[in-house]
Amino acid sequence: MGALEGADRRRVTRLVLVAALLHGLAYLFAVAPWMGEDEPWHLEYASHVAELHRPWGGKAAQYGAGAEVDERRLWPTSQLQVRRRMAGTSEEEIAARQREILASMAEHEYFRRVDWAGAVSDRTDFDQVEEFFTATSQPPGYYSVLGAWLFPVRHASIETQLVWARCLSLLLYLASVWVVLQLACCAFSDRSLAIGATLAFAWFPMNARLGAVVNNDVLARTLGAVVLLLCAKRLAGEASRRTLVLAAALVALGLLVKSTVMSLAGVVAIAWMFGGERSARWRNVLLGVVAGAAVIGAVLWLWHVQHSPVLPRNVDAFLARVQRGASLETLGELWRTFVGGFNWYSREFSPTTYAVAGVLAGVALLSAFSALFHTRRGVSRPVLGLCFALLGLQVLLVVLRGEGQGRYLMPAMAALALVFATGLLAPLSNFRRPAGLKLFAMLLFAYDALFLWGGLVPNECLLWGS
Amino acid sequence: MLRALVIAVVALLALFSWREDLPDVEIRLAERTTQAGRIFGGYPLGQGFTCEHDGLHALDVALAPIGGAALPLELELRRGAADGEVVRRASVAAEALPASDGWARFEFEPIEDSGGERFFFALSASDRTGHSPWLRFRGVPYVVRPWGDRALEGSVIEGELLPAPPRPRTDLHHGDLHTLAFAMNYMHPEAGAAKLELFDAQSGEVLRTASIGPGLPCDTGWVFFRFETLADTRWRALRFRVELPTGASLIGNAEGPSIVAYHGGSKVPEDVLGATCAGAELPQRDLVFRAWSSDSRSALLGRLAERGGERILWAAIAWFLAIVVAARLLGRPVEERE
Repeated sequence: MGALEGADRRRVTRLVLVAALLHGLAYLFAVAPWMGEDEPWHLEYASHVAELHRPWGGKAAQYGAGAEVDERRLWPTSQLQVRRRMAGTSEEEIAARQREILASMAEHEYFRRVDWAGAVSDRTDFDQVEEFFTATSQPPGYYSVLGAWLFPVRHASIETQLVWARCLSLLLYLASVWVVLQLACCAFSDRSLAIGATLAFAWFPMNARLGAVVNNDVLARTLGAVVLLLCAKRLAGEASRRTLVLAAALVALGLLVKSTVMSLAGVVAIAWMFGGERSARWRNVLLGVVAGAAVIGAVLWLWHVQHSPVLPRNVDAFLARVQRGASLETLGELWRTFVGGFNWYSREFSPTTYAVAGVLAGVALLSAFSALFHTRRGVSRPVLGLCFALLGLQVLLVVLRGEGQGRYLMPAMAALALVFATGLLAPLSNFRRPAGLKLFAMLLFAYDALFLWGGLVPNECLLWGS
Repeated sequence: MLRALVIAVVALLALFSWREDLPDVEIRLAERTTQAGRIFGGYPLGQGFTCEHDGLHALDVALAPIGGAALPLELELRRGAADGEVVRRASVAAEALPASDGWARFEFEPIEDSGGERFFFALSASDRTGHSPWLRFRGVPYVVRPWGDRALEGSVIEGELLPAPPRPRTDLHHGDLHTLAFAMNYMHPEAGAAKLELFDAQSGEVLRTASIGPGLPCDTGWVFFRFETLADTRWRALRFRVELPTGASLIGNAEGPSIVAYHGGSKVPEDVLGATCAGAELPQRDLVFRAWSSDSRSALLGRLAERGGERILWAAIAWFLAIVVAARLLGRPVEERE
């Protein structure tokens, strides 16, 4: 069977988008309010932007020797952290927003659903949910976009704002699915592989769920897919070098969204070095290394001035973080929260489920890796290599960050979908691939059914603490 | 459509597989911090709750082995009030109690009309037990110093709660302090009261006082000194003085006694009615337990409809249609069909 093109491609695009919209809507309905990880903090940040407060140039807290007053005694730390980020916000305004969100969380039984939060529902500030935690240490990119999106509903109730913010996530999910279909058509000249990769992306449950929650990983994931598409097109010879300039610009924007998109800079560098004429390759490599060093320097400076928690305080802290990130415990947590974690990761599937998923993923990865060295009909090896590079860089970033949360892999989700489809479908002969696609899709649908109806819905709706 | 129906069956099986894993009422704590201590003979520890469904047939109580010989535990279940009619009795043999932190299950004949009824259970033993029930105090907990490794000498213990520095992190992070819990060794029920005084660290002014007992034993557990809420406690320096009855001692480490501070609100769901000791109410706290009643499919669906509402129905419809549409991608391409 040949490539996805012409009328068939248009039909597949329509079907994919309609199916993804319905799938995204299912998650939008199913995920209870405030059940996206850190959602209250993300919405708090964006709602202040929607009120036209600049997400930079706020007022730092006064305390310690020389301070007229120890402001930590006057206001909760989480509110002082917001004030440091947002220019022009008053303490009263910040406190009122937190109380409004907390009241909504209590009304929607957040405290009964999230086991580590405890069941006590009358709380007055975010520190009483988690101490020393804020979203305002994150770069302002996502919150500027979300703040603009929330502007028309900025005077509505906080729950209306939450629903509206989640709708943006749904749109970004749909856009990502479309981008992955284009990417799959670039990577595979085989219809079954292209559809399989797109379905793997759209139906991967934790990815679909990300289309129903408020989180900067949502935008990081979309940017990851777009940059990978641009670089893949360059490697496949379908685009000029200008495409890479656009990709580099998107990476720069992405660094204002989330530090986890740093991996994409590596992908652009690879496409830059290996996407041009052979004669200019050494020059490109040199340029790539110099530009890469400049980008890393600029990013480190940006994170420093943004008080980003991404930067360790000193070398010892960095080494401790790497040791923690590379530990089996962190990597296990990364795997579990990528495959399926519920109620703010306070509940999980059974260990057997993670083991079975691990075996399947291992087979797919090994099989896809072998495709880098053996010809598989319909698979672009350079694009597949680019996907593996992105995956490797993404896992490396998680190790350097020292925190194993599955959503930190999301900028590489598109790459992972392509790798899975390659690993499980490409070894089949052309004749068997359509049948293989059916089995592949049924496995995906069954996994999604287990996740949604055997995990997410029971944990969020049936099992509440008292 | 056939594929979508097959997947829908998978979804239903996955949902109904939860039937036997849904407690009627449960105190869920990701991290258990405070245990009640050993149960003294004649001073049963208990808990009240409202049952949601008919068919109440088992109670699980979270226990931690805290040293000493394990003793069998008896459970009495009363209807209506802590001193109401005994409707069921159950026991767990010493060898069946958890060897590490875990649940002890008390099973009894199902109570057919338990739905909507109030029940109180009490755990008792012939002598001081080697196991302690876990306890949840109603408030926002902040662990100042976790369970220590030694008994502190002296019947009067003084100390400070300080901001950071000098502490690595502040001892009082939140406002609205209303309770301080101390880790306690052997406070006999007839030994008198334990008293707490709380002072301002600078002025020395007494800000709050509280006392516990007599008649409330605690051994290898936490005692909770409750007082009127002190609003201005965030990053504040306070001093405390604890006076202990004869034979009792506080547990701590080299830095001082083990303390958990409780701040803020205390509102919990209405289906938990609080803990009791020898029939008397222990305010603002609950034993960590779960109750098991009907495991029918209709009970599961009823709870889903009540808690999920219409949005779960819409989710199911959209999800099913998504598979129907996606399954059309698996057919042959347009050109081949033409």
